[in-house]
Amino acid sequence: MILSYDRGTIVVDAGLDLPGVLVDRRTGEHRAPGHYYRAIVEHLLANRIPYTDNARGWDNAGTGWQLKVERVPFPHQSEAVEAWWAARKRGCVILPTGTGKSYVAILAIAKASRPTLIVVPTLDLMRQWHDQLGEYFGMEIGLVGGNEYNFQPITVTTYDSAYRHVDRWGNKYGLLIFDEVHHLPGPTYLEAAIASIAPFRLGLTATLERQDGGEYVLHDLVGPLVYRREIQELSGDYLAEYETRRVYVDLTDAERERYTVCREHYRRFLFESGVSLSGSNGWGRFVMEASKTPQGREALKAWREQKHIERAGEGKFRELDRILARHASERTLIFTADNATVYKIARKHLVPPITHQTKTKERKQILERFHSGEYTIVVTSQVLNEGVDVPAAAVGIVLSGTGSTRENVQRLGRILRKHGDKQAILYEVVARGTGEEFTSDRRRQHGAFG
Amino acid sequence: MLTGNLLRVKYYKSAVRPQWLDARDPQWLAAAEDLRSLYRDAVQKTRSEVQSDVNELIADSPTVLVLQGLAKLLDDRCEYETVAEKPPDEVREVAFRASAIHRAAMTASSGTFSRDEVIRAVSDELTLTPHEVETLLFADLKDEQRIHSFEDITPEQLLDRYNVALAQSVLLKSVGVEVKVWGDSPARYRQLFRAIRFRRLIATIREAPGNAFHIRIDGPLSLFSATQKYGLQLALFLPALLHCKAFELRAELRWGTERKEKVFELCAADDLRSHTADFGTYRPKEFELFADSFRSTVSDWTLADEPLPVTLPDGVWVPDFALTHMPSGTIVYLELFGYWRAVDLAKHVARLEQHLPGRFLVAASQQYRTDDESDSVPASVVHYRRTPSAEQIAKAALAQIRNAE
Repeated sequence: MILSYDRGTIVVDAGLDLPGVLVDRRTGEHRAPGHYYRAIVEHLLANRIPYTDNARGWDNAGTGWQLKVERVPFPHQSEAVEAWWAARKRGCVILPTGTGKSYVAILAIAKASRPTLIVVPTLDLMRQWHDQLGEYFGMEIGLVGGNEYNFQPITVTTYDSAYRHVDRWGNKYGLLIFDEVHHLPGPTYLEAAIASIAPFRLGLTATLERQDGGEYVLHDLVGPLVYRREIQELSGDYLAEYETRRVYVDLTDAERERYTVCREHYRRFLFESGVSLSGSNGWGRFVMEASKTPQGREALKAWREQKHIERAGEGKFRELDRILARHASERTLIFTADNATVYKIARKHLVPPITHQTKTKERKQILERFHSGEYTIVVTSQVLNEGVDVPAAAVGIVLSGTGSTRENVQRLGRILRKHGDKQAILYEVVARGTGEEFTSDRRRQHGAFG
Repeated sequence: MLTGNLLRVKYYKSAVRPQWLDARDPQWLAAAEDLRSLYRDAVQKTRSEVQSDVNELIADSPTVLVLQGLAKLLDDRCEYETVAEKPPDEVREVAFRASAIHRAAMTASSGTFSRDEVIRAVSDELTLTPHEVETLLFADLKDEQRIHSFEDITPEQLLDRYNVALAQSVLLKSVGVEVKVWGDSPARYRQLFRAIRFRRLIATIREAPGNAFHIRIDGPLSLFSATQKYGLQLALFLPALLHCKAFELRAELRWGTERKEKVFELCAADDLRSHTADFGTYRPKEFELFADSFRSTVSDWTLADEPLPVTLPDGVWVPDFALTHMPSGTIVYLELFGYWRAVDLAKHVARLEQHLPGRFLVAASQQYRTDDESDSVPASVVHYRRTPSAEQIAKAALAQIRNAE
């Protein structure tokens, strides 16, 4: 029996009843999706069937990697790794942001001792993981994504690149780590997990909940939930103490008038075209109907204008000034829903913005100076929602955002990392009497917002 | 290609039909010319300026979606760059630092933050005017970048490109295609089969009567589930198919967020024009030289140009010549190999050895070799310098027949 690897699949030379294997009449071979590799090998071993493994592209022996930095793990970190190990090196770990998920990954890599690919959602996170892994393992770490294409025994890549290049890396790594693993379900990204032959898999996240039930797919492709701790359980000992405050601001008379006009305008259009925004794919249907006629396009414009008013009304900027003055000596992160507002604030207050347009070098410099205290304020939209380390931040100001609980928990998480004896505060500035009140209620439906 | 929001299709039951533009329609040609001249005059403008010019030109048009699509294709032909007399990131660094220092001083003295004061300090430090500081501050944002160059295109070409882009954007959603081609030259078929392999796709090729081929194209993982993973490769393969004289394509789609099963059909009569250069049927001069010399110097053999492709169990092989040994009536197929590496040649020869023992020859020119590994030469491979020698080929062909017997 010979196993070989072909562009995301395992090809075997005989048609035995092996897990996942089908006859491929196109090429006259027997083929299984890459992720069946482990099941196939275990089947062959259990049934004492001799085989030659030409599929596995790494040595089936320990890599001998030693951690260059000695650090005593927190109890929840070592427990998480032990639970994953006991589950035969497969599974998902849920830990709140700021409690050291990446150190869990580093411990797992060192223990599993196999070439490892780490998949992360953004280029910012990719760079952060790259620097951190380099520090702990003291060797060249590969990068694939952005303009980088360099595979090494330990490599960090984005979900997007992992999916696009899986044909090439699918048989090169024994351990796959998915950071923010809730991104994995979904028809495209999932293909990377299907096509890879890595027998060992670890998923990390702060929030596994999805609205589409995608967490069930994770069970098959990454493994069961092996360990979980909530913010409330770790607050104080491993996370900073925190409070969250909701501040309401009023629209100006002129804003209120435009808001009402715009809202009636687009709602009339929705009513007349029989589209419900809360229905299935409501937003998509609205955009499609709107693109058909000039009236529709006007309605879409009205929708945008009222959204803009509730997200970026004058009152919010006045409140922002007040909060900034109140916490003048503390490190503060400002979050908005859109980049235009980020740049508006950056220009007005002359504070550094971080968006997806910010180049790596500048981003690194801004974060370093924020950490050292040279800069005390950073404004961002969604870039810093996930994972990027800003331990010194004590104040978060959510000026606008989506209704997603995950986004809100992640934003809160940004200011929760222990740093001295800081007391963290997350402000949420909400436009009174607008749809934003509901948005705010929705995103606070999580234990962390008590 | 077009982004999803610019797609224009209609639905007939399960069929997805792109709304083609008549590329000879004076009205579309005029619209294409308007947009094209807008872009020709837009060099040095910022992205947001060009975008608002485009919006102004097309805003109230009932065909705004078409025009946005044409504009997108023109925009893809532009190169943007940041224009600034001082690097904006350096200006920002000075500004953010000055602002932080000022803010700290004001907090300490219970004063109020003055933006003007910070800007003045920055302009002094950088010897710029306050206005220049304001302009430079974010001059490298995407919207502020300026068009450096625009690769021109005629209105006809733009409309043709639009139709192809429309078809490609639909193919992005495909999980596999069935293609039928017929009545074309061997060189064309070879180009087509190579394009499939170049895109790392899997083809199941069946020969049909009348110099026709049925080809099913998808990828390795398609065996297990309908995956759109190969949609991009299939879309990129399309221009090669458009070079064929006669073809029919049927793509199986998964449409929309619900991934509904739909079908997309395309044929030569849709008259899409490929935008990629057609090198497919080009025959190097040494082919003619070789054929002439073979016919005039070798007596026991006849030579046929461009024989039909040979069907093998795992696909199709397109030889350049068929040599018939007159005394025995045996045919030996000959391929003159283009640019090659030793590994590829060895793989190719091994495949032919398995399926066509004694019936083939491959001639590889030393001047087209792209590596310099030394290797042993099997009997089925003839190396040559500029043009293969007729005698050498005839001798090797005879040896092939003898070996097989």
